[in-house]
Amino acid sequence: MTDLTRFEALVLEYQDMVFAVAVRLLGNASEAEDVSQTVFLKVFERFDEVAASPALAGWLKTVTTNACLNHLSRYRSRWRLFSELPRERDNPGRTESVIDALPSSTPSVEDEVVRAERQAQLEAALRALPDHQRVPLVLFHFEEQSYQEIADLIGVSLAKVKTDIHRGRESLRRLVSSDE
Amino acid sequence: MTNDPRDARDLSAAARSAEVDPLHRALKALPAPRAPRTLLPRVLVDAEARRRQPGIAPWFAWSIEWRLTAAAAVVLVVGSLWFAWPAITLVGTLVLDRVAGAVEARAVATVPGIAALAHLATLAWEMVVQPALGYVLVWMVVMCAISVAIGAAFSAALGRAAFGEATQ
Repeated sequence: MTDLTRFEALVLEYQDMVFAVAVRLLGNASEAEDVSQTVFLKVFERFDEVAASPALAGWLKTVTTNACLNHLSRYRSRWRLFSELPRERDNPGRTESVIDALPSSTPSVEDEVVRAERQAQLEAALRALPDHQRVPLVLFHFEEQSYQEIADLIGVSLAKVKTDIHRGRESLRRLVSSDE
Repeated sequence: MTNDPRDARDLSAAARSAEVDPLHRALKALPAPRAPRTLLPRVLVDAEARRRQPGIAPWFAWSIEWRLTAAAAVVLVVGSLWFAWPAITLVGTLVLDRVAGAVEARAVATVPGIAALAHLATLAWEMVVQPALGYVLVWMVVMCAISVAIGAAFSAALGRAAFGEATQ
């Protein structure tokens, strides 16, 4: 029988990682919490099998990614339709800059506050991207997957992955570049 | 970088490095979102409920040992039926013949008019039902096996659709 105490320790250790992957892929904290819960229940069902695995973190990331894609696939038709249309959301027209995230040599308290605010802006902008741009972009930049891997995972063409990532980056880059 | 989508095509994994791509640097510097405090209690409550819930987990969720054991059991049962089938049909025929003979004899003894009907039924049994019986039973066994296989494949496909290769 599964040891609930050990399971609780496992959830405590990995909940931030699982939730971070989910919330960035889904762009919605509430849905990300639901998906995270599903992922951990999957772990619970095969706890004895996976708990001792040295590749548990990678396994959790893969399971979470697939669960998120499965969650998003419910809206796949809307996703495809919107991906073909020019969206004002693709060009939010934000002109605020996000400061460079690398730490400066002597950051003051004010610098830290400003940086935190702008990081929050970038995080919000990332979550506000349409699904078809945010998902490949997150997989590319955060999960370090190649274009081909992303195309295979999402089930779209390589060209579409490249275009969507490019458009997503363009939207986000406006927040960054003016500060460069 | 321009607005030309070809820029994205040229963006290789190497170009993700912080030196080349300030956006990548900014994204990677974002603090990882923290899980809400409600997640752990929700998971534990659900896990506890799942633990108390009687029943058998889906086949694809079994450990590899149990899956192999179950598959071996299915093969054993089907194989046994296959090899024992001639004996089963022989015994079945003998039993049915004996029952039919006893019923017929009793019927003839009590109501002579039934003899013809019984004879007709015997003829129908021997000419129509008995030859087809083996095929019907084989067909039923095969259909059951196919149903089980489809069910297992469907369960596996569902699991794979939800959790991908990670469930392997």
